[in-house]
Amino acid sequence: MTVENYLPLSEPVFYILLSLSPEPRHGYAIMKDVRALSNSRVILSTGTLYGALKRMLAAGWIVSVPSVGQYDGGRERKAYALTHLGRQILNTEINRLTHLVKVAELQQKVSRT
Amino acid sequence: MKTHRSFVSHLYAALIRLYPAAFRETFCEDMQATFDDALQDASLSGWRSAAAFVLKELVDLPLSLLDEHLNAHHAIQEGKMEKIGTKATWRETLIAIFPLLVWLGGILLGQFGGSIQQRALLEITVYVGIAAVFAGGIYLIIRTFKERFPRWSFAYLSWFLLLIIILPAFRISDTMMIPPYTPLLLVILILTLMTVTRSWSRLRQLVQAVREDWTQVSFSLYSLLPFLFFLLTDEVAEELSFPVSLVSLVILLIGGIAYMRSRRVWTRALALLVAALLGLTLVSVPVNIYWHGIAYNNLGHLIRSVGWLAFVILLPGIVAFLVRITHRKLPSG
Repeated sequence: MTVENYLPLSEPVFYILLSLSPEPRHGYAIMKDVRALSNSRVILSTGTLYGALKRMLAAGWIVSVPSVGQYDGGRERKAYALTHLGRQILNTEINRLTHLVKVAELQQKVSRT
Repeated sequence: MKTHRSFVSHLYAALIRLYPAAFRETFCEDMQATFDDALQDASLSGWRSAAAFVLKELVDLPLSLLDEHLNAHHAIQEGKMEKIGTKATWRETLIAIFPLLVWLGGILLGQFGGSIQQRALLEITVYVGIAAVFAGGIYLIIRTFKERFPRWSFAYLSWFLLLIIILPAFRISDTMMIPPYTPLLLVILILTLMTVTRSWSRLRQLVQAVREDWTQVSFSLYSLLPFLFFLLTDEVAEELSFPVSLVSLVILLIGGIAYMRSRRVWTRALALLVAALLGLTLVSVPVNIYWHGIAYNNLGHLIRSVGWLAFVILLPGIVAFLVRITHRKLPSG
């Protein structure tokens, strides 16, 4: 199965992968980041977020890592990091979206002239 | 405000218990922490923001619950046959009966290896053998953890525990003994390793594996039977004990293969039971001849021995049955 078979990504999944691309993050950090990245258009509930994380873990797009310095009542909170496959999927989706935007802009320029 | 937040947090904690067990075990602690953090942040922006957050969570939760339960149901339907109903592959069967094969090899070596006992090569072979057992043991422990306690691994778990217990009985050389507190040190080392590597969840997987098929514990006990037979026939002359030990081991091997290749719990239990009882009955012949001069001097004693062994083999099933009954009674009681 090629990476293209997983595309297009749903908006929440795309934003979650995008949020994890610079560094591993724990659940609440992802939640806040997705909200900020989407200008508050995509607001994930806790259930939706962890449901998506579960599927991405099972598919091998992300892995669970201990979150350094994130302690919650003495318990180390789990963080999630992109795998090589997850990063490949994100990059391919970004390329696909970039291509879409370029084509749309070109088409608009042509229709204006 | 704090009381209100605490109540909502408790309400959420109660609601997320409704997720399927596997999802709950993996994510619910983090979900609760994420919910609490988000609620705290929303509360800083005022009660309307907090109320909007809680409302969104409560609206999304039933959909998320339904989604996860449907996923869990599909996973069970797909995995059910694999988990319980499939027979082991020949490779898995071979790994499972390997301890019995090693024992068989030991008996044959003991009987026919007399002529090479004087050779220095034998000593080297023994050391290489011990090193191989250790290396193989470490490899199997890693495989056991990685494959989440497959059925074949139970043949080794009992040996592993037995070796830890009887370790002080061995000696490194004439002057070097293994200290009697070594088992305790090993247990502390294992517990420390489990804590450092955060492997406590593996114990839950072990319990889960036993709950799915109790005969695995019976198989674990069954794998120790060659050791029991060895203890019983230890003082008996080799001319008497060798052929019977050999045949009883072959019976145990056939029982082990039948167990691994069976699909149903009752056929698995039956395979172990028949082979174990037949093996014990056979072994008791040279023991009786040695002590009393005849094959069977006391039928009652034999029936008691066989009965005890049957009880031990079936004990995990009895415990599983009692646990199931207790769990059924709990909701109404």
